[in-house]
Amino acid sequence: MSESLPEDLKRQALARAGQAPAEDGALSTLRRDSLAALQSADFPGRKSERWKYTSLHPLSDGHLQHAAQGAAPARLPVLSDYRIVMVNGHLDESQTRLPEGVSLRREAERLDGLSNPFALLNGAALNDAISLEVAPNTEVAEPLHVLMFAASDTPAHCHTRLEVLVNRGSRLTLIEHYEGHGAALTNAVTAIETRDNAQLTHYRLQSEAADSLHIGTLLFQQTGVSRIDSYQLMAGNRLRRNEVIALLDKSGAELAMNGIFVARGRTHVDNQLCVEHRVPDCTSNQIYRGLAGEKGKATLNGRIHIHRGASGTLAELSNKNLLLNPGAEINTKPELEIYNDDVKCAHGATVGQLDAAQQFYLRSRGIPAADAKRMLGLGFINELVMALPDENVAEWVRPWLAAELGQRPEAGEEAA
Amino acid sequence: MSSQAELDKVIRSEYEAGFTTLVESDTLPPGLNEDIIRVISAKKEEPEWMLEWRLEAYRHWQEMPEPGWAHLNYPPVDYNSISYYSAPKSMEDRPQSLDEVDPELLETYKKLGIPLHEQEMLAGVAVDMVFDSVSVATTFKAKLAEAGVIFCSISEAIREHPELVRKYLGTVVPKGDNFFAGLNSAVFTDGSFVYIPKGVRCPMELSTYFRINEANTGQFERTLIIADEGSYVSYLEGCTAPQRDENQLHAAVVELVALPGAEIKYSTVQNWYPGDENGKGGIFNFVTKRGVAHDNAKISWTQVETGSAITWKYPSVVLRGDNSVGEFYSVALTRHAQQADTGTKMIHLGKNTKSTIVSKGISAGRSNNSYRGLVRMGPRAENARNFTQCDSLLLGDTCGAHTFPYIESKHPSATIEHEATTSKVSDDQLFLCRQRGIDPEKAISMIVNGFCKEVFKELPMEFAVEAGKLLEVSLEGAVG
Amino acid sequence: MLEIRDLHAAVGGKAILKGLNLTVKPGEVHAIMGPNGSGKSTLANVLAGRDNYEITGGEALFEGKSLADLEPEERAQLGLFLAFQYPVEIPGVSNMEFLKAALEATRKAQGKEEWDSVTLLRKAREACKQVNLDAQFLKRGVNEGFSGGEKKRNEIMQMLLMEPKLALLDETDSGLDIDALQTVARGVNSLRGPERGIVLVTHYQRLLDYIVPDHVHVLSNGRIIKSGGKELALELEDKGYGWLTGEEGESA
Repeated sequence: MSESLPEDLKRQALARAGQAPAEDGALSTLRRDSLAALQSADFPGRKSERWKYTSLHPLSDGHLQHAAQGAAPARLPVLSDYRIVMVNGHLDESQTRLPEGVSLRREAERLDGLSNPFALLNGAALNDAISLEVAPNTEVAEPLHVLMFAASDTPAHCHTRLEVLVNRGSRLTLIEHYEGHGAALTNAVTAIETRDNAQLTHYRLQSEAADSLHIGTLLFQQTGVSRIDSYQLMAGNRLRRNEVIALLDKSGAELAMNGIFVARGRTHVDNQLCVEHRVPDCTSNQIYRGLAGEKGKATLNGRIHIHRGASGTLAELSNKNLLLNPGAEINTKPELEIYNDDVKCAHGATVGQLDAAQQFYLRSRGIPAADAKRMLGLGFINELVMALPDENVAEWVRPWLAAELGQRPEAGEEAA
Repeated sequence: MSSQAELDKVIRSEYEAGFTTLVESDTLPPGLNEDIIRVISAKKEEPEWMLEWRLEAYRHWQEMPEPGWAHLNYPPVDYNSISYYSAPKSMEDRPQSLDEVDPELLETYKKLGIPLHEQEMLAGVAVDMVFDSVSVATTFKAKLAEAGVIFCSISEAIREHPELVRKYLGTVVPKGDNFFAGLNSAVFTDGSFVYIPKGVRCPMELSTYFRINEANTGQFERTLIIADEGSYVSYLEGCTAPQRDENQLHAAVVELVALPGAEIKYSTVQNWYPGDENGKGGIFNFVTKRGVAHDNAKISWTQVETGSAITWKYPSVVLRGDNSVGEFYSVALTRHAQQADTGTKMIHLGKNTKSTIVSKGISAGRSNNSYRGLVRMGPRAENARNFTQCDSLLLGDTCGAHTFPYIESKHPSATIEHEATTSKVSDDQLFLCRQRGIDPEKAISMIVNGFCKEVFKELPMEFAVEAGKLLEVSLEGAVG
Repeated sequence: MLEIRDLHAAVGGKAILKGLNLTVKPGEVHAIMGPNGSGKSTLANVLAGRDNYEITGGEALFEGKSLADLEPEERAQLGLFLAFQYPVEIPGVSNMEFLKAALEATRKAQGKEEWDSVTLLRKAREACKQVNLDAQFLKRGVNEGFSGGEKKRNEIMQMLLMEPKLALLDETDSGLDIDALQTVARGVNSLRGPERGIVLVTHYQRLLDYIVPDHVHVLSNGRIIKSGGKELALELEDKGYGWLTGEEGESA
């Protein structure tokens, strides 16, 4: 009998990790420890609760067997004067421009909190890594644009690794941006730590083409009284799975996460969020909007976990979703796990369609039906787009999302 | 006094239904195998098809894993240490009327506040009493028969109305549906059977009272309610058990069939022994309750759950027919070391189907109280609607309150709204009450009652009063 | 420009209009009055093409075209404008963006010159001023968080910009205080002209003090039961609808 997919993936992952050079000083410890952990980890199968709505079947084409080799296009989006470019998991040093106060090392060490098998594989098999540190009490005025590009004509993968430390009293705007196309799987790990009085504005733009694949793990750890504002914008692709873990570890820490995910055509997006309130008096606020159209499938699992001692917690999650037509699918599960009574927690989730009265109002003013739908779809996410603090980013995001929303339904489905 | 100290006092009340009845019982030795199932079937004088059905269920069950996904933590159950049948000896001759029933048994129900003599009863409620594995008595049978309503124990139904039982048993909860339903299908002993004919509005409330008495005994009741086209029935269910140090197993299956245009209202007040302050003893309650609503039918579940050490229970509605309606109203209170993982599933298959979920969880002591729900809009569920409100109240900082709502939609014209909040009895609320002269115990009970009001108003009146009292008792201090 | 012949219409399967006849010529202002439930709003919504408002008999021609064959946006592009009784809120879509889309579509269809953003903004600001609406409203979501009076003025503002051939005003006066009523009336009057038809649907006479109609029609039980000049409205004010419908008068 042939191996099950999870077993097969694990075998490929271990084989891949075994090929990584052992003696690379800056990465060897992480590789060794990740490999050890990977050996006792299981890849998820169909019955795995946390992978209920995402099948790893697209990976059975052998993405884990080969490293992506495609070249970066001549023109990549530019969202800031300061940037770092990684192509298929390798830093392109010629393009690096760092703002003052930010240092870069090609190292990685974070293992704690990154326990899913793909994050472990990333640690065990990575070839390169970016570790950024913002010096204490430094206000970095211009955003830093970290662009991760991946492309391949045949099934292949790359690992990207970004570790960021925002030191005491520092301020940083970080744009974590994924671009690419083809049968490339990006297996991304990003880990960000903020110390006392740090402020981070974080963007995560996932605008790879619909034929690409992405499995990402994003970890925030607020070890200091700090504020993180994170904006996560995702277009669906062949397989998109994002695990976001936020550890609020110092009283007074504040986290705001806003997200938009759009699954059109035959694309897929699965978000797994977990906010851990481990100490008293932290605040988290999450607003996510999802859209699915044609045969798209969008999922959000938003877990808020309030530990026994975390009194004075304020935590909220709102997830509204739009289903544009029959054939598309939305799954959402806002979870609360609360072990303290002195907290204020709430979550809400809705799934619905475009409002008929609103459509009629637009059409009665002469706006064609398809445009009315697109406008209302944009209106649905506009509150979050309007809130984007960086104008350069907002200018880049608007046409991108408008294009995502302007997609034509597949033939035969318009009539409904 | 601080509100915490008040709460501590309030949640340390005692279980009032914890006494044991001394009757001579006919109890099978512990253990589970095909022979035991044959004995149960024989004792109940069942036809061959019923025995075969049980054996099939048993063989399938042996292959099934016990579910582990719930937010529950309990020691493994040794299914061979349980006795699967226990009946008071006096029931062997099958008493024909209440006058022939063992006075000890009648006394038990009287102590529990359920007088069995029809003349003493609340007019308009017919009761079936299930004591361990057998039905003790069913009241008002004659009056119900006039309306064509069948209300009897499931054992009797298997003998007297085999065509109805065969047609519907296992159609809502198949015998291989889940681990506990599989076990129940193999060994179920008694329970209630209801059939309401076409167009009949059942002339009175029907009620079953379940009592576990014998030690080391499991109770595996099976209830089947069929509401034929255009009929209506309101059914009430109550449960208690003696206070014992050992855990006892209760694995019930309830199947509701609401044929086109019918309405079934099913209310439960569950007060199984919850175990003591330290988590010793108590009932393990693993229950599968599900209804199928055909075109224009309505199924409404209302539950007030204060008992059991472990609760695993998701009364559900499959909204199969167009325009069908499903409702779930629940109050679940946990204290001491109780653990509850309860909620509902609303499976929308038909067009214009509508469901409402209102869940109120109250956690105290070191307990954990989880709401777990599924709302699924199928690809044909045009214009389906769901609204879910899911609130938790935490009393004290050593308990847990959790929410796991699964929301799945495959139809764009379906609308789902889910809201959840968490709150506590605040010092300010308590202070306001006390400043107005209300003692803290009463104040907490008032606040909790207010929190549950939306659900209580769904209960039939007599039951609402009982539920309110039960909640009060569960919250009451040692009084002194 | 509007020719309604023996119009029958149903809402969600229930017959509301039962043989209605009405002709509106360019330059005319018609008032359609009637008690609650007489079908006034149904008429407005049927003409604009709302879902579930179904023409079951007769016909309604606008500029010679059968409205029944047209999508709501096609009617608007032909120059038919409905000021809604209850304008819907559209959070996330700004008024300005909305106006831009509406004017682009209608002006293009009508062969009018397109306005660039600067022109549009200037015109929109002027229109706001005309109806006493702060230009800040242009940035907000369509009707989002507007008071009842602001929503009604927003409707008139849109009408001024869109310069329709035929304007249907559905109970635009309801819920307005006297100042707002005058503002709205000024807006409507500024649109009066030889090329334009206006149909006011209203329950009360008071709007007609400010917008003087050429013709007044009384609608009852889905039919026009009496037509007359502006004096008919005053008579209704005195005698109530019962006078005509044979029931107890509402202001008797």
